[in-house]
Amino acid sequence: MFLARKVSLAKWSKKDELAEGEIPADAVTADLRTQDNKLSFWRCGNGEGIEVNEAVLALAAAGTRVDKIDVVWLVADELRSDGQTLQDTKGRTPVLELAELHVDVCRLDYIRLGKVAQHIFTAIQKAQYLRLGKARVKQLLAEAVKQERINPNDLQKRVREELGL
Amino acid sequence: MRQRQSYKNPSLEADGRTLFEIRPSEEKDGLEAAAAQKALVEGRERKRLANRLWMAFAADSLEDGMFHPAEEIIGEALRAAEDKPVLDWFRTFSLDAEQPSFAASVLRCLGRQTPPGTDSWRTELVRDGLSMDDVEIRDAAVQAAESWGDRSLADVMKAHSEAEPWLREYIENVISDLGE
Repeated sequence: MFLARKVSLAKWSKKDELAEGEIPADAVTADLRTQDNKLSFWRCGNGEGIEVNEAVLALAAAGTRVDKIDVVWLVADELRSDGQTLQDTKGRTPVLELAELHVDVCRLDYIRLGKVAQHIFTAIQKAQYLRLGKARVKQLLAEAVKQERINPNDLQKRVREELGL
Repeated sequence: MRQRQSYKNPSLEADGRTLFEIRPSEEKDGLEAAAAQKALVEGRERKRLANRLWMAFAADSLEDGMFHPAEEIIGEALRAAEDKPVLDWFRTFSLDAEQPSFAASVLRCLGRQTPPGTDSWRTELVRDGLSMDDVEIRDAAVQAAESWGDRSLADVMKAHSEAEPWLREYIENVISDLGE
């Protein structure tokens, strides 16, 4: 089982001032902001296209605007064996059927957060990521609305406007 | 030697009276002083704008799919530009190699605006953004291009050779979308 999280790929790229293999602190502070010492992830099966797209849909539908999106996926068992605590929780997304896919990595301290960062860094190096451009994200959201998987009223105003709803 | 230049008040011209007289050197000094004053005021405004953006990005990191207060700051500055070189300022902020994270954030927020400036201004900005060493700025340039949707930007991206695989793929997708 893989767990997907929204990141910003450019932040995780090699920086001139850092050595090969060093994780940029900007990536950690920007992409791994915890709340209640938890980080939000979405289950995405075996990391196949459709399953990852479902995680992207859950994330994009919860946004306040439509943008490109980057997600990275990690092996859940590797997180567990690394001492992380995983807890199923209901995700905040207008795609109600996907809310059950949400998982929190809990009880994060400085060391465990660093380990999550290392997993994300490694996953990106192994090409376990997906970038969907703004046009593709829009398409994904529009299809979900058409299929009545999303109630348009549950989307933020700007998102509705961008979708022409 | 140049004659002293007279400035006449039209209402007094009939009498042949001169309202005031300025020597050429005084006129030059006056123009230079006015230009210096304008540059000083603009420099202060530019710094103030940069500081406001800095503070906004320090308070909240810019996240995909989420509104950021810097968008409003940039939108306000563009709307209130009048004769101020606001587009030049944004160009400078967006291509600041010394502060690539700030630069990329400004460029991403510019990309979220109704297309600013002229076609050629946007084309130059995207072209220069793509030529930067920092991948965050190059990525922001492509995001802006995708968002503005100018077809001419596809040519700029076609001419760019990208080393980062995920960004190369994104550029190919955006070129394809812009061509449709």
